Amino acid sequence: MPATVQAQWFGNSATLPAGLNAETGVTWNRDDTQTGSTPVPIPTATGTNYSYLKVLQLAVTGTSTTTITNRTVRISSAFAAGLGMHWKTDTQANWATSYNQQAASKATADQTASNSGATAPTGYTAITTSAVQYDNTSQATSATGIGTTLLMGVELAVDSTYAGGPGSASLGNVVLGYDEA
Amino acid sequence: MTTNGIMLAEPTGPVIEVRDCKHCFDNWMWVAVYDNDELLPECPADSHGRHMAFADIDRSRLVSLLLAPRVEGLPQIAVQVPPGAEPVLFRRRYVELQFSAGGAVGPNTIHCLGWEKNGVGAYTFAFEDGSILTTSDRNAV
Repeated sequence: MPATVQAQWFGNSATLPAGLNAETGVTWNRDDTQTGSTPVPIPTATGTNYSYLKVLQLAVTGTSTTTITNRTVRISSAFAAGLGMHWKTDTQANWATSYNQQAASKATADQTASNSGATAPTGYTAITTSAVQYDNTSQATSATGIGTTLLMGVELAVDSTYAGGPGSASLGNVVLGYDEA
Repeated sequence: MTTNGIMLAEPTGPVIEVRDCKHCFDNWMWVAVYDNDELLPECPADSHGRHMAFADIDRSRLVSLLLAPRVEGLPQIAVQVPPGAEPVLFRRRYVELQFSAGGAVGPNTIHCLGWEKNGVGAYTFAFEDGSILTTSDRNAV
């Protein structure tokens, strides 16, 4: 009997908040919201700008007797030139230092040195069309929530080579995977 | 033969009965086959009973793993587990978060049976349309 699992977004709090349903949509923007509309500006000269981190994890919402491992992330189609998404993980205990964005972004700082939208900054891994494991914590589905799993922070990067122009960028879907046994 | 669900017979293997169960929504139910021909089905005969997980399998007695289809038209899949090998059994599920329209697609599920021994593995992935991939790469899908 499978557990019910939901992708959840965590944010808008100085302390670790309860997750909210991310399957209704997440917008990579420049504020500490799930779907706010503060845009990430496209650099007009050499440089790369970054969204706020959007913190995601898979949460058990319907219990079972199974175990979840091997959480992965990928994108369903390749990014346009000048765009990229990058992820990192941290423990729930480090929420305040890594993911509390009430006062300011905890994502990579904008830079004017290079067009690096597709290149993962130090400490991050680029999301590609190949699934990559971001967390292998074994989680029993006998309890709801995210257990002791890591939290994944994902940022969107855009550099001056992006030719899509202002507005909402057309991106593939972020695909979160897990193994249940 | 159909009895309160789908009854399937493998030419040289056990007869597996898959009952309707309100708790199960995957296309296949797994069954562990022990060395005395005893079966441990994931879904109990009484669908109100406790369902089995991979951790419930007695690996010391395990001979093979089966996927019994819960949807007509899908094949029954069997994998023999060699002596001394670690069995592999999981469902790989994916949820797609949509940027443009909001919402999500899925979960899409791929079933996997196999075994691992001495750093080598054999994995059979079963997709929801009934296609099958056998590979030595656990992360091929």
